Amino acid sequence: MRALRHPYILFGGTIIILLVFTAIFADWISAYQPDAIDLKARYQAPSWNHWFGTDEMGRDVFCRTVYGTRISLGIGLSARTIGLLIGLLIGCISGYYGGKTDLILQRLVDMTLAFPFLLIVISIAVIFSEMEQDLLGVLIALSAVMWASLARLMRSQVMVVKERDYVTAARAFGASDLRIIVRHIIPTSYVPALIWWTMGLAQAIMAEAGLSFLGLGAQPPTPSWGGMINYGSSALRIAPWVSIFPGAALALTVLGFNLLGEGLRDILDVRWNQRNSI
Amino acid sequence: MGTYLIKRLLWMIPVMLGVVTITFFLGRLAPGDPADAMAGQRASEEQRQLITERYGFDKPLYIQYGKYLLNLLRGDLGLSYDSHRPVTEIIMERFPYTAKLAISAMIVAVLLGVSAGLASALMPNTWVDRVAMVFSLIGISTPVFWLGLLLMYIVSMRLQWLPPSGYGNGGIQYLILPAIALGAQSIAFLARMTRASMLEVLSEDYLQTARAKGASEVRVVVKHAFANAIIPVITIIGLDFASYLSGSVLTEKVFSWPGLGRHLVIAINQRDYPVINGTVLFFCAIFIAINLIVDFLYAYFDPRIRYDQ
Repeated sequence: MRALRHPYILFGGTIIILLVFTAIFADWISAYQPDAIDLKARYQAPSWNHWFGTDEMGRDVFCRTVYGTRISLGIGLSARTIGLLIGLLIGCISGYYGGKTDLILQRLVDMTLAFPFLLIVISIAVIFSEMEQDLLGVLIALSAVMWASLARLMRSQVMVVKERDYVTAARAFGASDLRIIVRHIIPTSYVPALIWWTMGLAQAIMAEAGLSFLGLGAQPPTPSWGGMINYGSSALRIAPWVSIFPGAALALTVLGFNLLGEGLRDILDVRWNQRNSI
Repeated sequence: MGTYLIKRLLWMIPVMLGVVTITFFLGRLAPGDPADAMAGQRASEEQRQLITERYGFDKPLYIQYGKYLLNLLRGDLGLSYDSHRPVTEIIMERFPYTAKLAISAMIVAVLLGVSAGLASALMPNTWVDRVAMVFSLIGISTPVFWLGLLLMYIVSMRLQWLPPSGYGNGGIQYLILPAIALGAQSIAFLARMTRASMLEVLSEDYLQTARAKGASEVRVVVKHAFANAIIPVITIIGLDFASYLSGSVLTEKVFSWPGLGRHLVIAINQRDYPVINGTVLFFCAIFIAINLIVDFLYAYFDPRIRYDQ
Protein backbone atom coordinates (compact mmCIF):
# COMPACT_ATOMS: atom_id res chain seq x y z
CA MET A 1 0.00 0.00 0.00
CA ARG A 2 3.03 2.20 0.43
CA ALA A 3 3.23 2.06 -3.35
CA LEU A 4 -0.12 3.78 -3.78
CA ARG A 5 1.05 6.80 -1.87
CA HIS A 6 3.74 7.47 -4.44
CA PRO A 7 2.29 10.12 -6.79
CA TYR A 8 3.95 8.66 -9.88
CA ILE A 9 2.58 5.19 -9.24
CA LEU A 10 -0.85 6.53 -8.39
CA PHE A 11 -1.05 8.71 -11.47
CA GLY A 12 0.64 6.31 -13.89
CA GLY A 13 -1.34 3.36 -12.53
CA THR A 14 -4.64 5.21 -12.94
CA ILE A 15 -3.84 6.02 -16.57
CA ILE A 16 -2.95 2.40 -17.29
CA ILE A 17 -6.01 0.96 -15.57
CA LEU A 18 -8.21 3.33 -17.57
CA LEU A 19 -6.45 2.30 -20.77
CA VAL A 20 -6.85 -1.39 -20.09
CA PHE A 21 -10.56 -0.83 -19.44
CA THR A 22 -10.81 1.19 -22.65
CA ALA A 23 -9.20 -1.61 -24.63
CA ILE A 24 -11.41 -4.30 -23.14
CA PHE A 25 -14.70 -2.41 -23.27
CA ALA A 26 -14.10 -0.53 -26.54
CA ASP A 27 -17.34 -1.93 -27.95
CA TRP A 28 -19.37 -0.37 -25.15
CA ILE A 29 -17.53 2.93 -24.85
CA SER A 30 -18.14 4.28 -28.31
CA ALA A 31 -21.47 4.86 -30.00
CA TYR A 32 -19.88 4.34 -33.43
CA GLN A 33 -18.05 1.62 -35.33
CA PRO A 34 -14.34 2.32 -35.96
CA ASP A 35 -14.65 1.65 -39.70
CA ALA A 36 -18.13 3.08 -40.27
CA ILE A 37 -17.70 5.48 -43.19
CA ASP A 38 -19.99 8.51 -43.44
CA LEU A 39 -18.91 10.64 -46.38
CA LYS A 40 -21.47 13.32 -45.54
CA ALA A 41 -19.67 13.93 -42.25
CA ARG A 42 -16.08 14.36 -43.43
CA TYR A 43 -13.66 16.45 -41.34
CA GLN A 44 -16.22 17.61 -38.80
CA ALA A 45 -14.80 19.52 -35.87
CA PRO A 46 -15.15 18.04 -32.36
CA SER A 47 -18.75 18.35 -31.20
CA TRP A 48 -21.20 16.73 -28.82
CA ASN A 49 -21.87 14.00 -31.40
CA HIS A 50 -18.25 13.45 -32.36
CA TRP A 51 -16.10 14.22 -29.31
CA PHE A 52 -12.84 14.12 -31.25
CA GLY A 53 -14.37 15.14 -34.61
CA THR A 54 -14.34 13.01 -37.76
CA ASP A 55 -11.66 12.08 -40.29
CA GLU A 56 -11.34 12.14 -44.08
CA MET A 57 -13.97 9.40 -44.46
CA GLY A 58 -16.31 10.76 -41.84
CA ARG A 59 -15.28 8.12 -39.31
CA ASP A 60 -15.52 9.04 -35.64
CA VAL A 61 -12.03 9.88 -34.34
CA PHE A 62 -12.95 9.23 -30.70
CA CYS A 63 -14.17 5.75 -31.58
CA ARG A 64 -11.03 5.00 -33.61
CA THR A 65 -8.81 6.31 -30.84
CA VAL A 66 -10.61 4.04 -28.35
CA TYR A 67 -10.14 1.00 -30.60
CA GLY A 68 -6.54 2.03 -31.26
CA THR A 69 -5.82 1.29 -27.61
CA ARG A 70 -6.13 -2.41 -28.44
CA ILE A 71 -3.38 -2.40 -31.04
CA SER A 72 -1.04 -0.28 -28.95
CA LEU A 73 -1.46 -2.18 -25.71
CA GLY A 74 -1.72 -5.52 -27.49
CA ILE A 75 1.49 -5.16 -29.47
CA GLY A 76 3.32 -3.43 -26.62
CA LEU A 77 2.42 -6.04 -24.01
CA SER A 78 3.07 -9.02 -26.27
CA ALA A 79 6.39 -7.75 -27.63
CA ARG A 80 7.53 -6.91 -24.14
CA THR A 81 6.49 -10.25 -22.71
CA ILE A 82 8.18 -12.21 -25.48
CA GLY A 83 11.27 -10.06 -24.91
CA LEU A 84 11.04 -10.82 -21.19
CA LEU A 85 10.99 -14.56 -21.81
CA ILE A 86 13.90 -14.43 -24.26
CA GLY A 87 15.90 -12.16 -21.96
CA LEU A 88 15.25 -14.37 -18.93
CA LEU A 89 16.18 -17.52 -20.80
CA ILE A 90 19.37 -16.18 -22.35
CA GLY A 91 20.41 -14.29 -19.22
CA CYS A 92 19.94 -17.34 -17.00
CA ILE A 93 21.73 -19.73 -19.34
CA SER A 94 24.54 -17.24 -19.77
CA GLY A 95 25.03 -16.55 -16.10
CA TYR A 96 24.40 -20.07 -14.83
CA TYR A 97 26.59 -22.05 -17.20
CA GLY A 98 29.32 -19.46 -17.80
CA GLY A 99 32.31 -20.40 -19.95
CA LYS A 100 31.99 -20.59 -23.73
CA THR A 101 28.18 -20.49 -23.70
CA ASP A 102 28.33 -17.26 -21.74
CA LEU A 103 30.91 -15.74 -24.04
CA ILE A 104 28.92 -16.44 -27.19
CA LEU A 105 25.62 -15.28 -25.71
CA GLN A 106 27.17 -12.11 -24.35
CA ARG A 107 28.57 -11.24 -27.76
CA LEU A 108 25.07 -11.71 -29.14
CA VAL A 109 23.76 -9.35 -26.46
CA ASP A 110 26.47 -6.77 -27.18
CA MET A 111 25.70 -6.93 -30.85
CA THR A 112 21.96 -6.49 -30.36
CA LEU A 113 22.58 -3.48 -28.15
CA ALA A 114 25.04 -1.99 -30.63
CA PHE A 115 22.38 -1.56 -33.31
CA PRO A 116 20.20 1.51 -33.57
CA PHE A 117 16.95 0.06 -32.29
CA LEU A 118 14.35 1.69 -34.54
CA LEU A 119 16.26 1.13 -37.77
CA ILE A 120 16.65 -2.60 -37.30
CA VAL A 121 12.99 -2.83 -36.36
CA ILE A 122 12.11 -0.96 -39.56
CA SER A 123 14.13 -3.24 -41.81
CA ILE A 124 12.58 -6.38 -40.30
CA ALA A 125 9.06 -4.93 -40.40
CA VAL A 126 9.37 -4.02 -44.11
CA ILE A 127 9.93 -7.64 -45.08
CA PHE A 128 6.88 -8.84 -43.17
CA SER A 129 4.86 -6.02 -44.61
CA GLU A 130 5.70 -7.35 -48.07
CA MET A 131 4.20 -10.67 -47.03
CA GLU A 132 1.13 -8.84 -45.71
CA GLN A 133 1.90 -9.92 -42.18
CA ASP A 134 2.27 -6.38 -40.92
CA LEU A 135 1.28 -6.79 -37.30
CA LEU A 136 3.14 -10.05 -36.89
CA GLY A 137 6.16 -8.32 -38.42
CA VAL A 138 6.07 -5.50 -35.90
CA LEU A 139 5.72 -8.00 -33.07
CA ILE A 140 8.64 -10.11 -34.25
CA ALA A 141 10.81 -7.07 -35.00
CA LEU A 142 10.21 -5.56 -31.56
CA SER A 143 10.71 -8.84 -29.69
CA ALA A 144 13.86 -9.55 -31.67
CA VAL A 145 15.58 -6.43 -30.36
CA MET A 146 13.95 -5.85 -26.97
CA TRP A 147 15.51 -8.54 -24.83
CA ALA A 148 19.23 -7.91 -24.73
CA SER A 149 19.40 -5.49 -21.81
CA LEU A 150 17.37 -7.88 -19.64
CA ALA A 151 19.64 -10.77 -20.59
CA ARG A 152 22.60 -8.71 -19.41
CA LEU A 153 20.84 -7.78 -16.19
CA MET A 154 19.74 -11.36 -15.47
CA ARG A 155 23.20 -12.70 -16.18
CA SER A 156 24.81 -10.57 -13.50
CA GLN A 157 21.99 -11.41 -11.11
CA VAL A 158 22.38 -15.14 -11.70
CA MET A 159 26.14 -14.99 -11.31
CA VAL A 160 25.73 -13.51 -7.84
CA VAL A 161 22.90 -15.74 -6.68
CA LYS A 162 24.30 -19.06 -7.91
CA GLU A 163 27.19 -18.77 -5.45
CA ARG A 164 24.86 -18.39 -2.48
CA ASP A 165 24.78 -21.14 0.12
CA TYR A 166 21.16 -22.05 -0.37
CA VAL A 167 21.75 -22.71 -4.03
CA THR A 168 24.69 -24.94 -3.18
CA ALA A 169 22.48 -26.67 -0.63
CA ALA A 170 19.72 -27.19 -3.21
CA ARG A 171 22.25 -28.66 -5.58
CA ALA A 172 23.55 -30.94 -2.85
CA PHE A 173 20.01 -32.22 -2.39
CA GLY A 174 20.01 -33.17 -6.03
CA ALA A 175 17.92 -30.36 -7.49
CA SER A 176 18.21 -30.10 -11.26
CA ASP A 177 19.62 -27.02 -12.98
CA LEU A 178 16.17 -26.13 -14.25
CA ARG A 179 14.68 -26.35 -10.77
CA ILE A 180 17.45 -24.24 -9.29
CA ILE A 181 16.99 -21.55 -11.94
CA VAL A 182 13.20 -21.49 -11.75
CA ARG A 183 12.76 -21.92 -8.01
CA HIS A 184 15.80 -20.22 -6.55
CA ILE A 185 17.29 -17.78 -9.00
CA ILE A 186 14.42 -16.19 -10.93
CA PRO A 187 12.45 -15.28 -7.77
CA THR A 188 15.37 -13.16 -6.57
CA SER A 189 15.32 -11.04 -9.68
CA TYR A 190 11.69 -10.30 -10.27
CA VAL A 191 12.00 -6.70 -9.09
CA PRO A 192 14.48 -5.49 -11.71
CA ALA A 193 12.73 -7.62 -14.33
CA LEU A 194 9.41 -6.00 -13.48
CA ILE A 195 10.85 -2.49 -13.76
CA TRP A 196 12.57 -3.43 -16.99
CA TRP A 197 9.28 -4.72 -18.37
CA THR A 198 7.28 -1.64 -17.38
CA MET A 199 9.74 0.96 -18.61
CA GLY A 200 10.32 -0.78 -21.89
CA LEU A 201 6.58 -1.00 -22.49
CA ALA A 202 6.60 2.73 -23.06
CA GLN A 203 9.38 2.25 -25.63
CA ALA A 204 7.58 -0.64 -27.33
CA ILE A 205 4.32 1.28 -27.62
CA MET A 206 6.13 4.32 -28.97
CA ALA A 207 8.02 2.18 -31.49
CA GLU A 208 4.83 0.47 -32.68
CA ALA A 209 3.21 3.86 -33.21
CA GLY A 210 6.32 5.09 -35.01
CA LEU A 211 6.18 2.13 -37.37
CA SER A 212 2.51 2.62 -38.18
CA PHE A 213 3.23 6.31 -38.66
CA LEU A 214 5.74 5.24 -41.33
CA GLY A 215 3.09 3.05 -42.97
CA LEU A 216 4.36 -0.23 -41.51
CA GLY A 217 2.48 -2.12 -38.81
CA ALA A 218 -1.31 -2.12 -38.62
CA GLN A 219 -2.77 -1.35 -42.06
CA PRO A 220 -5.91 0.67 -42.75
CA PRO A 221 -8.73 0.46 -41.99
CA THR A 222 -7.49 -1.06 -38.68
CA PRO A 223 -7.38 1.88 -36.26
CA SER A 224 -3.86 2.36 -34.88
CA TRP A 225 -2.67 5.59 -33.32
CA GLY A 226 0.43 5.92 -35.46
CA GLY A 227 -1.55 5.31 -38.63
CA MET A 228 -4.21 7.82 -37.62
CA ILE A 229 -1.56 10.46 -36.91
CA ASN A 230 -0.02 9.71 -40.30
CA TYR A 231 -3.23 9.98 -42.31
CA GLY A 232 -4.41 12.96 -40.31
CA SER A 233 -1.17 14.85 -40.85
CA SER A 234 -2.02 15.62 -44.48
CA ALA A 235 -5.10 17.53 -43.33
CA LEU A 236 -3.44 19.17 -40.34
CA ARG A 237 -4.37 22.67 -41.40
CA ILE A 238 -8.08 22.04 -41.86
CA ALA A 239 -8.67 19.18 -39.41
CA PRO A 240 -5.94 19.07 -36.75
CA TRP A 241 -8.09 16.89 -34.47
CA VAL A 242 -7.65 13.85 -36.72
CA SER A 243 -4.00 13.49 -35.75
CA ILE A 244 -3.78 15.50 -32.52
CA PHE A 245 -6.18 13.32 -30.47
CA PRO A 246 -4.71 9.90 -31.22
CA GLY A 247 -1.28 11.45 -30.61
CA ALA A 248 -2.42 12.71 -27.23
CA ALA A 249 -3.71 9.23 -26.37
CA LEU A 250 -0.33 7.81 -27.34
CA ALA A 251 1.61 10.37 -25.31
CA LEU A 252 -0.63 9.77 -22.30
CA THR A 253 -0.12 6.01 -22.54
CA VAL A 254 3.63 6.34 -22.77
CA LEU A 255 3.60 8.81 -19.89
CA GLY A 256 1.54 6.36 -17.82
CA PHE A 257 4.04 3.55 -18.23
CA ASN A 258 6.99 5.87 -17.70
CA LEU A 259 5.46 7.21 -14.48
CA LEU A 260 4.71 3.72 -13.23
CA GLY A 261 8.23 2.55 -14.06
CA GLU A 262 9.84 5.56 -12.39
CA GLY A 263 7.64 5.15 -9.34
CA LEU A 264 8.42 1.45 -9.01
CA ARG A 265 12.11 2.17 -9.37
CA ASP A 266 11.81 4.81 -6.69
CA ILE A 267 10.11 2.70 -4.05
CA LEU A 268 11.96 -0.50 -4.86
CA ASP A 269 15.19 1.47 -4.89
CA VAL A 270 16.80 0.09 -8.02
CA ARG A 271 19.14 2.15 -10.12
CA TRP A 272 17.78 1.91 -13.59
CA ASN A 273 16.84 4.12 -16.47
CA GLN A 274 14.80 4.00 -19.64
CA ARG A 275 17.86 3.87 -21.77
CA ASN A 276 18.71 0.50 -20.25
CA SER A 277 15.32 -0.98 -20.82
CA ILE A 278 15.21 -1.45 -24.57
CA MET B 1 43.93 2.77 -22.44
CA GLY B 2 45.83 1.53 -25.48
CA THR B 3 44.63 -2.05 -25.11
CA TYR B 4 41.13 -0.81 -24.56
CA LEU B 5 41.25 1.26 -27.71
CA ILE B 6 42.41 -1.63 -29.84
CA LYS B 7 39.92 -4.01 -28.26
CA ARG B 8 37.04 -1.66 -28.95
CA LEU B 9 38.17 -1.05 -32.51
CA LEU B 10 38.42 -4.78 -33.19
CA TRP B 11 35.00 -5.33 -31.67
CA MET B 12 33.56 -3.06 -34.35
CA ILE B 13 34.37 -5.65 -37.00
CA PRO B 14 31.97 -8.41 -35.84
CA VAL B 15 29.28 -5.86 -35.02
CA MET B 16 29.47 -4.33 -38.49
CA LEU B 17 29.61 -7.79 -40.03
CA GLY B 18 26.44 -8.60 -38.10
CA VAL B 19 24.66 -5.57 -39.53
CA VAL B 20 25.91 -6.34 -43.03
CA THR B 21 24.71 -9.94 -42.75
CA ILE B 22 21.28 -8.87 -41.54
CA THR B 23 20.83 -6.30 -44.31
CA PHE B 24 22.09 -8.77 -46.91
CA PHE B 25 19.62 -11.47 -45.95
CA LEU B 26 16.75 -9.03 -45.53
CA GLY B 27 17.52 -7.80 -49.03
CA ARG B 28 17.41 -11.34 -50.42
CA LEU B 29 14.17 -12.19 -48.60
CA ALA B 30 12.44 -9.51 -50.60
CA PRO B 31 10.28 -10.84 -53.41
CA GLY B 32 10.95 -10.24 -57.09
CA ASP B 33 14.10 -10.44 -59.20
CA PRO B 34 16.57 -7.83 -57.93
CA ALA B 35 18.40 -7.59 -61.27
CA ASP B 36 15.15 -6.70 -63.07
CA ALA B 37 14.22 -4.19 -60.41
CA MET B 38 17.66 -2.55 -60.38
CA ALA B 39 17.91 -2.29 -64.14
CA GLY B 40 14.38 -0.99 -64.62
CA GLN B 41 11.90 -1.73 -67.37
CA ARG B 42 13.56 0.34 -70.04
CA ALA B 43 16.96 -1.27 -69.61
CA SER B 44 18.43 -3.44 -72.35
CA GLU B 45 19.14 -7.13 -71.83
CA GLU B 46 22.82 -6.22 -71.84
CA GLN B 47 22.51 -3.81 -68.95
CA ARG B 48 20.51 -6.39 -67.07
CA GLN B 49 23.25 -8.97 -67.65
CA LEU B 50 25.82 -6.51 -66.42
CA ILE B 51 23.97 -5.99 -63.17
CA THR B 52 23.40 -9.73 -62.69
CA GLU B 53 27.11 -10.27 -63.22
CA ARG B 54 28.16 -7.45 -60.90
CA TYR B 55 26.05 -8.54 -57.93
CA GLY B 56 26.08 -12.26 -58.69
CA PHE B 57 22.30 -12.60 -58.66
CA ASP B 58 22.49 -15.82 -60.71
CA LYS B 59 24.99 -17.40 -58.32
CA PRO B 60 24.38 -19.36 -55.09
CA LEU B 61 23.65 -17.35 -51.97
CA TYR B 62 27.11 -17.62 -50.41
CA ILE B 63 28.75 -16.22 -53.55
CA GLN B 64 26.20 -13.41 -53.60
CA TYR B 65 27.12 -12.71 -49.99
CA GLY B 66 30.81 -12.65 -50.84
CA LYS B 67 30.16 -10.29 -53.73
CA TYR B 68 28.03 -8.12 -51.47
CA LEU B 69 30.92 -7.81 -49.00
CA LEU B 70 33.44 -7.07 -51.76
CA ASN B 71 31.18 -4.48 -53.35
CA LEU B 72 30.62 -2.95 -49.94
CA LEU B 73 34.35 -2.46 -49.47
CA ARG B 74 34.31 -0.57 -52.75
CA GLY B 75 31.43 1.53 -51.50
CA ASP B 76 28.94 -0.12 -53.83
CA LEU B 77 25.56 -0.70 -52.20
CA GLY B 78 23.68 -1.58 -55.34
CA LEU B 79 21.24 0.39 -57.47
CA SER B 80 17.97 1.94 -56.41
CA TYR B 81 14.90 0.07 -57.71
CA ASP B 82 13.23 3.39 -58.21
CA SER B 83 15.71 5.81 -59.73
CA HIS B 84 18.27 3.15 -60.82
CA ARG B 85 21.01 5.34 -59.40
CA PRO B 86 23.77 3.99 -57.13
CA VAL B 87 22.57 3.86 -53.52
CA THR B 88 25.85 5.30 -52.27
CA GLU B 89 25.32 8.36 -54.43
CA ILE B 90 21.82 8.89 -52.98
CA ILE B 91 23.12 8.52 -49.43
CA MET B 92 25.94 11.00 -49.97
CA GLU B 93 23.51 13.45 -51.51
CA ARG B 94 20.95 13.22 -48.69
CA PHE B 95 23.09 12.76 -45.63
CA PRO B 96 24.34 16.37 -45.28
CA TYR B 97 20.74 17.49 -44.71
CA THR B 98 20.29 14.93 -41.96
CA ALA B 99 23.61 15.89 -40.39
CA LYS B 100 22.60 19.55 -40.38
CA LEU B 101 19.33 18.71 -38.65
CA ALA B 102 20.98 16.38 -36.13
CA ILE B 103 23.65 18.92 -35.18
CA SER B 104 21.03 21.64 -34.74
CA ALA B 105 18.93 19.31 -32.59
CA MET B 106 21.97 18.59 -30.45
CA ILE B 107 22.68 22.29 -29.93
CA VAL B 108 19.06 22.90 -28.88
CA ALA B 109 19.10 19.88 -26.56
CA VAL B 110 22.39 20.75 -24.88
CA LEU B 111 21.51 24.39 -24.31
CA LEU B 112 18.06 23.73 -22.89
CA GLY B 113 18.64 20.36 -21.26
CA VAL B 114 21.85 21.12 -19.42
CA SER B 115 20.60 24.47 -18.15
CA ALA B 116 17.31 22.99 -16.94
CA GLY B 117 19.20 20.20 -15.19
CA LEU B 118 21.62 22.66 -13.60
CA ALA B 119 18.80 24.87 -12.36
CA SER B 120 17.07 21.85 -10.87
CA ALA B 121 20.19 20.61 -9.14
CA LEU B 122 21.08 23.99 -7.67
CA MET B 123 17.57 24.45 -6.33
CA PRO B 124 16.60 20.90 -5.40
CA ASN B 125 13.04 20.33 -4.19
CA THR B 126 11.91 23.83 -5.07
CA TRP B 127 9.23 24.61 -7.62
CA VAL B 128 11.92 25.16 -10.28
CA ASP B 129 13.13 21.62 -9.72
CA ARG B 130 9.65 20.10 -9.74
CA VAL B 131 8.50 21.95 -12.84
CA ALA B 132 11.69 21.02 -14.69
CA MET B 133 11.38 17.36 -13.71
CA VAL B 134 7.68 17.09 -14.57
CA PHE B 135 8.37 18.69 -17.94
CA SER B 136 11.21 16.31 -18.56
CA LEU B 137 9.00 13.29 -17.86
CA ILE B 138 6.43 14.68 -20.27
CA GLY B 139 9.22 15.34 -22.77
CA ILE B 140 10.44 11.76 -22.58
CA SER B 141 6.91 10.49 -23.11
CA THR B 142 6.03 12.64 -26.12
CA PRO B 143 6.46 10.88 -29.46
CA VAL B 144 8.69 12.94 -31.72
CA PHE B 145 6.35 12.80 -34.71
CA TRP B 146 3.35 13.95 -32.71
CA LEU B 147 5.28 16.79 -31.11
CA GLY B 148 6.43 17.78 -34.58
CA LEU B 149 2.85 18.00 -35.86
CA LEU B 150 1.77 19.89 -32.76
CA LEU B 151 4.55 22.45 -33.19
CA MET B 152 3.80 22.72 -36.87
CA TYR B 153 0.11 23.34 -36.22
CA ILE B 154 0.55 25.88 -33.43
CA VAL B 155 3.69 27.77 -34.47
CA SER B 156 3.37 27.65 -38.25
CA MET B 157 -0.28 27.30 -39.08
CA ARG B 158 -1.94 29.21 -36.26
CA LEU B 159 0.65 31.79 -35.22
CA GLN B 160 2.34 31.82 -38.65
CA TRP B 161 5.72 32.54 -37.10
CA LEU B 162 7.69 29.98 -39.07
CA PRO B 163 7.25 28.06 -42.32
CA PRO B 164 5.48 24.72 -41.65
CA SER B 165 7.77 22.38 -43.56
CA GLY B 166 10.32 21.83 -46.27
CA TYR B 167 13.85 23.08 -46.65
CA GLY B 168 13.14 26.35 -48.47
CA ASN B 169 16.27 28.30 -49.15
CA GLY B 170 18.06 26.49 -46.33
CA GLY B 171 17.43 29.34 -43.90
CA ILE B 172 17.30 28.89 -40.16
CA GLN B 173 13.54 29.50 -40.05
CA TYR B 174 13.04 26.12 -41.71
CA LEU B 175 15.37 24.42 -39.25
CA ILE B 176 14.00 25.60 -35.91
CA LEU B 177 10.90 23.42 -35.55
CA PRO B 178 12.42 20.16 -36.82
CA ALA B 179 15.43 20.71 -34.56
CA ILE B 180 13.25 21.29 -31.50
CA ALA B 181 11.07 18.25 -32.29
CA LEU B 182 14.07 16.00 -32.84
CA GLY B 183 15.92 17.32 -29.80
CA ALA B 184 12.95 17.32 -27.40
CA GLN B 185 13.48 13.86 -25.96
CA SER B 186 17.10 14.49 -25.29
CA ILE B 187 16.37 17.87 -23.72
CA ALA B 188 14.42 15.82 -21.20
CA PHE B 189 17.07 13.13 -20.81
CA LEU B 190 19.87 15.64 -20.50
CA ALA B 191 17.98 17.63 -17.88
CA ARG B 192 17.51 14.53 -15.75
CA MET B 193 21.06 13.30 -16.22
CA THR B 194 22.58 16.71 -15.47
CA ARG B 195 20.44 17.04 -12.37
CA ALA B 196 21.31 13.57 -11.04
CA SER B 197 24.96 13.96 -11.82
CA MET B 198 25.19 17.45 -10.29
CA LEU B 199 23.40 16.35 -7.11
CA GLU B 200 25.81 13.47 -6.73
CA VAL B 201 28.85 15.68 -7.17
CA LEU B 202 27.46 18.47 -4.97
CA SER B 203 27.44 16.09 -2.01
CA GLU B 204 31.13 15.24 -2.37
CA ASP B 205 33.56 16.24 0.34
CA TYR B 206 36.01 17.97 -1.95
CA LEU B 207 33.50 20.76 -2.52
CA GLN B 208 33.59 21.47 1.22
CA THR B 209 37.36 21.51 1.00
CA ALA B 210 37.22 24.01 -1.83
CA ARG B 211 34.81 26.17 0.14
CA ALA B 212 37.01 25.94 3.24
CA LYS B 213 39.94 27.12 1.17
CA GLY B 214 37.95 30.24 0.41
CA ALA B 215 36.75 29.53 -3.13
CA SER B 216 33.71 31.57 -4.08
CA GLU B 217 30.41 29.72 -4.49
CA VAL B 218 30.39 30.40 -8.23
CA ARG B 219 33.85 28.94 -8.52
CA VAL B 220 32.87 25.90 -6.47
CA VAL B 221 29.85 25.23 -8.64
CA VAL B 222 31.42 25.93 -12.01
CA LYS B 223 34.99 24.79 -11.60
CA HIS B 224 34.66 21.96 -9.13
CA ALA B 225 31.15 20.60 -9.38
CA PHE B 226 30.04 21.21 -12.97
CA ALA B 227 33.34 20.17 -14.52
CA ASN B 228 33.00 16.77 -12.88
CA ALA B 229 29.28 16.39 -13.22
CA ILE B 230 29.38 17.00 -16.95
CA ILE B 231 31.41 13.87 -17.72
CA PRO B 232 28.53 11.37 -17.69
CA VAL B 233 26.41 13.98 -19.45
CA ILE B 234 28.88 14.06 -22.34
CA THR B 235 28.24 10.35 -22.83
CA ILE B 236 24.53 10.98 -23.03
CA ILE B 237 25.04 13.79 -25.52
CA GLY B 238 27.03 11.46 -27.74
CA LEU B 239 24.56 8.59 -27.49
CA ASP B 240 21.67 10.95 -28.15
CA PHE B 241 23.40 12.32 -31.19
CA ALA B 242 23.61 8.79 -32.54
CA SER B 243 19.93 8.25 -31.83
CA TYR B 244 19.00 11.40 -33.77
CA LEU B 245 19.88 9.45 -36.87
CA SER B 246 17.01 7.02 -36.26
CA GLY B 247 14.83 9.83 -34.93
CA SER B 248 15.44 11.77 -38.11
CA VAL B 249 13.38 9.18 -40.00
CA LEU B 250 10.24 10.28 -38.16
CA THR B 251 11.07 13.98 -37.87
CA GLU B 252 12.06 14.37 -41.50
CA LYS B 253 8.84 12.71 -42.60
CA VAL B 254 6.78 15.15 -40.51
CA PHE B 255 8.57 18.25 -41.76
CA SER B 256 9.31 17.04 -45.31
CA TRP B 257 12.98 17.65 -44.57
CA PRO B 258 14.96 16.45 -47.61
CA GLY B 259 17.41 14.31 -45.64
CA LEU B 260 18.28 10.64 -45.63
CA GLY B 261 15.55 9.79 -43.10
CA ARG B 262 12.78 11.02 -45.35
CA HIS B 263 14.37 9.30 -48.28
CA LEU B 264 14.26 6.08 -46.27
CA VAL B 265 10.53 6.55 -45.70
CA ILE B 266 10.00 7.05 -49.42
CA ALA B 267 12.06 3.94 -50.11
CA ILE B 268 9.97 1.98 -47.59
CA ASN B 269 6.76 2.97 -49.34
CA GLN B 270 8.18 2.00 -52.72
CA ARG B 271 9.77 -1.15 -51.33
CA ASP B 272 13.09 0.04 -52.75
CA TYR B 273 15.16 -2.58 -50.92
CA PRO B 274 18.70 -1.58 -51.92
CA VAL B 275 18.01 1.94 -50.66
CA ILE B 276 16.34 0.70 -47.45
CA ASN B 277 19.14 -1.71 -46.62
CA GLY B 278 21.89 0.64 -47.72
CA THR B 279 20.51 3.45 -45.59
CA VAL B 280 20.05 1.21 -42.56
CA LEU B 281 23.59 -0.05 -42.99
CA PHE B 282 24.94 3.48 -43.30
CA PHE B 283 23.04 4.72 -40.24
CA CYS B 284 24.22 1.68 -38.24
CA ALA B 285 27.83 2.34 -39.19
CA ILE B 286 27.58 5.95 -38.05
CA PHE B 287 25.75 4.91 -34.89
CA ILE B 288 28.45 2.39 -34.00
CA ALA B 289 31.24 4.84 -34.83
CA ILE B 290 29.72 7.56 -32.64
CA ASN B 291 29.30 5.11 -29.77
CA LEU B 292 32.96 4.25 -30.10
CA ILE B 293 34.03 7.89 -30.06
CA VAL B 294 31.85 8.50 -27.00
CA ASP B 295 33.51 5.60 -25.19
CA PHE B 296 36.94 6.98 -25.94
CA LEU B 297 35.96 10.48 -24.85
CA TYR B 298 34.60 9.05 -21.64
CA ALA B 299 37.79 7.17 -20.92
CA TYR B 300 39.77 10.27 -21.79
CA PHE B 301 37.80 12.68 -19.63
CA ASP B 302 37.48 10.44 -16.62
CA PRO B 303 40.79 8.95 -15.52
CA ARG B 304 38.94 7.01 -12.81
CA ILE B 305 37.72 4.63 -15.46
CA ARG B 306 40.26 1.97 -16.10
CA TYR B 307 39.08 0.07 -19.04
CA ASP B 308 42.26 -1.96 -19.20
CA GLN B 309 41.20 -4.07 -16.28
